[in-house]
Amino acid sequence: MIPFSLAVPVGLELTLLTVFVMIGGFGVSLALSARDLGLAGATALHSLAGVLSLLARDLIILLISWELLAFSAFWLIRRVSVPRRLLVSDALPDTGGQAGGSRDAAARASFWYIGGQICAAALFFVAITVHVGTGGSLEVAPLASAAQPAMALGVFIKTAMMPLHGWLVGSYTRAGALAGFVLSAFATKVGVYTAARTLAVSLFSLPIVSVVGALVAVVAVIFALSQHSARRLLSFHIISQVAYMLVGVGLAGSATSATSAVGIDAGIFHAINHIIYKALLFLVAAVAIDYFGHDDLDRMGGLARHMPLVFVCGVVGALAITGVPGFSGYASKELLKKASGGLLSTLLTVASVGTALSFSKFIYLIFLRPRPRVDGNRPSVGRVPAFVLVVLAGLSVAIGLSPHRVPGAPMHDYYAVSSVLAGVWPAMLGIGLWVVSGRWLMRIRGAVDPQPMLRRMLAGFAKAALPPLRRAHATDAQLALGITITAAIAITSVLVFL
Amino acid sequence: MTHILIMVIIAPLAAAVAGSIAVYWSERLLRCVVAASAFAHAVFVTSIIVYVGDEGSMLYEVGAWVAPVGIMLYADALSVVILLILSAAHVVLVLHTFSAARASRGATWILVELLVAALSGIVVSGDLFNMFVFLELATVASIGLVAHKRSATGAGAGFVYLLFALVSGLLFMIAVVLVYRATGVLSLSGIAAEIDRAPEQAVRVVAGLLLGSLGIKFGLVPFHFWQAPAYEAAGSSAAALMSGAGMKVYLYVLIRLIFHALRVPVIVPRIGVVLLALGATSILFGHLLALAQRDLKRLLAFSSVAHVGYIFLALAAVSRGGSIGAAAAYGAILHICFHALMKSTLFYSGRSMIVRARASATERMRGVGRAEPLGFAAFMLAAVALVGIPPTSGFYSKWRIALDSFAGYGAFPVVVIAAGTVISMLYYARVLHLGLAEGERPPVTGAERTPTAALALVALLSLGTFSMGVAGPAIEAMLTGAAAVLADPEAILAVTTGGAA
Repeated sequence: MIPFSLAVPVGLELTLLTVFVMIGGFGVSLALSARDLGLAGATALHSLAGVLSLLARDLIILLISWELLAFSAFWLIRRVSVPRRLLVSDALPDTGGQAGGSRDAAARASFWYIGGQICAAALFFVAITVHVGTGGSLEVAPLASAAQPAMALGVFIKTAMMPLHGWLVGSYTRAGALAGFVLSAFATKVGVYTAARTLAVSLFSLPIVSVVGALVAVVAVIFALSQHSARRLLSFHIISQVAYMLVGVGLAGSATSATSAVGIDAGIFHAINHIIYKALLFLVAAVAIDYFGHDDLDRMGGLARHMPLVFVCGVVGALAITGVPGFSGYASKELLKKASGGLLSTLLTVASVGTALSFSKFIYLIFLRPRPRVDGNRPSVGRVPAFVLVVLAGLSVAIGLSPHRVPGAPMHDYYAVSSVLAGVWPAMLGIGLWVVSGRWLMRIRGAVDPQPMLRRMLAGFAKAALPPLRRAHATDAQLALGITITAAIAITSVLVFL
Repeated sequence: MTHILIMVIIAPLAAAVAGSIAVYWSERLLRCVVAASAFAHAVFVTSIIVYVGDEGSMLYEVGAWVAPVGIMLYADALSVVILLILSAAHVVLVLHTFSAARASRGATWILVELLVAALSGIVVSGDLFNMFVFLELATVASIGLVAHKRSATGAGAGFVYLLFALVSGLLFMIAVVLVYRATGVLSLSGIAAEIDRAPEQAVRVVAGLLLGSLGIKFGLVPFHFWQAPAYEAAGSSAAALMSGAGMKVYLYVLIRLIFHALRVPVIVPRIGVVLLALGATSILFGHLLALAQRDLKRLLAFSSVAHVGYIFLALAAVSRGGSIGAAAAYGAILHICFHALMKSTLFYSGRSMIVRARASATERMRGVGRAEPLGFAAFMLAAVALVGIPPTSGFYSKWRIALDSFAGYGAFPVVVIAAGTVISMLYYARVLHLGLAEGERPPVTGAERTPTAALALVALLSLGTFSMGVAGPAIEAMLTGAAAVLADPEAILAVTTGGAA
């Protein structure tokens, strides 16, 4: 009854598919090396769902992949892995922390995660119903204009655009350290891919998705700056970077078709690069969390001396996400700025400065800050994580050095002098700002995060409305009978006067 | 050959009588009687299906007395689908109880057989009066099933059900009287032929009364108050029969009377708006109420309330007639069938969880997924289907209903359906959350273990809910036939002219 049509994509999407498979494979091998079979299974299912979304040639399969991503992530988040499995050591120093996070918190986070995801899927459902209902086919293609608003809202939830990001930040920080590595790669990127394939929406002749993306790219970085937990910081940067991608794919809503094609390619290209360097950064964070036994940046430091390899990889990841020429983020950000132009491009540059500032803090606090020497047997990073780190870092550099060699990457003069300069100065400015204002920046804490507010509102509604509903149905047959008879009379009279 | 139509009533009725004697003999004999009845009922229903498949419809005049004096039994492609659901529910109930419970109270079986006889009677009745009689008989059997556990809550729930059934019966009675006054006949085909000459106001009032009366029967908001306590008090298997098959039979009555006998959509085209409003209210309130519950069986009861709403959305689109109506009829039939399967699965698999947790409160389900993995997995799979996650059967029918109601009424019903999806996912996610939580695992004694055979049956049903969405074409021809009858406002008119011979 449901048509199943799958096809292997070509060009840039095939590269994206390859990256999905690679990250899934790395995730499974990391989970296996940590001897966590359940985590490996959840990882495999999660990456399969990601792959399925790229193979999908009809909207129902795409919806299935959305749902499958949500359910496998539900499982993934709840698998709070035993900490310290990424490290090899005879005797680990007792740090007293709980690196794995509490099971209860993770379970609650998984509940909110699935709530957010099902909202996104429901909007997807509305969009395709309207699309097919107004004569569209089930093929994966830009939807009818009446279906665009629902789809755009669904994509905003799936890509965690603020203020709809609660499900992402809440769960990525409470899941096990390894789960974050897998989670960061798939759900939001499938959202971006869906947007690239189905959305072309404009409001007042503005490409609204791009505008939202550019704003969120800046705002999310501001939030990231005030974080003191490694994974929270990275989570807000996911939101910011995914917003970059939306700037690109949202250009489909603009007037000229030339920019829209380049924009979509730039967005997908950025997704590819982002998956690689963000997985790298999440793995670096996971190793650091395992090493220190907690997730608090303020109590980390000095890891560069003990784990030089992890330090180098972390720096590569930071340079890549900042968009320094020679690293992968540069190529796709350059394309995005060229394609969007004007105010959008300026906003992205501002976000780049913030990103550089934020990752200067990340690298400094974990690796460089002086920290009293810990005596005794120091753990070292395990073989599988080390291998994965090196491969991901190598890929980030390779793509950065020759972006045009990436299969399907758009033709562009990536290393024109003006472009290189445009890539260098925001990074330099960000690092400079850190040197000047780092002390002050480290002290900011407790910045307002809007997402608990939304959550509290929903929980408050549930608390206020549901118990009275339950009580009204628990007792009082007289009232119930009264309502029933009144309603019967009311319906009859409505029918009489209709 | 057409005698079979009365046999679907007589077989379970005879089993109820024989069973009430056999129960004094031995439990084993009673089980033999019940098994024989379920088997015979299934055989009769199958032959009716085959006959209707060949001839299009089946007519039996009891004692060869022709209408208007005689009693007429009638079955067509639509009634056949409902009979199939009923028979399947009956067989599954028997198989499940035989494999799951070592000892059962004899009265339960007698009431079950009585209920099956009454429901079969409702479906094959060709006239209003017999329908009314069988409706009352079904009420008596249902009250017995609700209250027979001899607990205080059971008695209370039974009493509430009795009150609501009284109101329902009264409304139906008034409707019957009004129809008779307006048309002078009681056979459905006769009403369909005469209704054009009846005063329009009478049709409107009768339609309202029937919506109220049958709304109580299948638990439409705001007529749903009896349902949760009743399902909570009844055994899971009885609830599965009442919700899986009983509810569908009452929906069938509504369809037969409103759409075919009275032809309300032709006379009052705007009844669609009323059906739409009732359906949307049921979906939203039903799901919210399910979300508010702290008891697994009550949760399932309110989910049934919501799903009546989905079928009402489809019926609202059917009332638009034309190609929209024809398409929507298919969605309605599909959801009627799939919901019967999904809800029965949920009640049976829920039973294995309740037995293991020794309570039906959701809080007590903590860790039940680890203690009863197969039953829990079956429950969650059926829940996923009921929420409507692709590619399960529930998604397919929901998708059809969304498309058809979009064609009929625009984006509003689609948004309601989507909201329902979100809310229902939340309450099943909570069951999932609790079931997977780590709780202390109490030592298992024999009484808390559901036998493997019963679990295997439940797992099979659950796989069915999953695969129906993919393997649907096997039953598609039958469902298309039923949908064609549903959508045809003159479905019964043909009976007097062509079928009477």
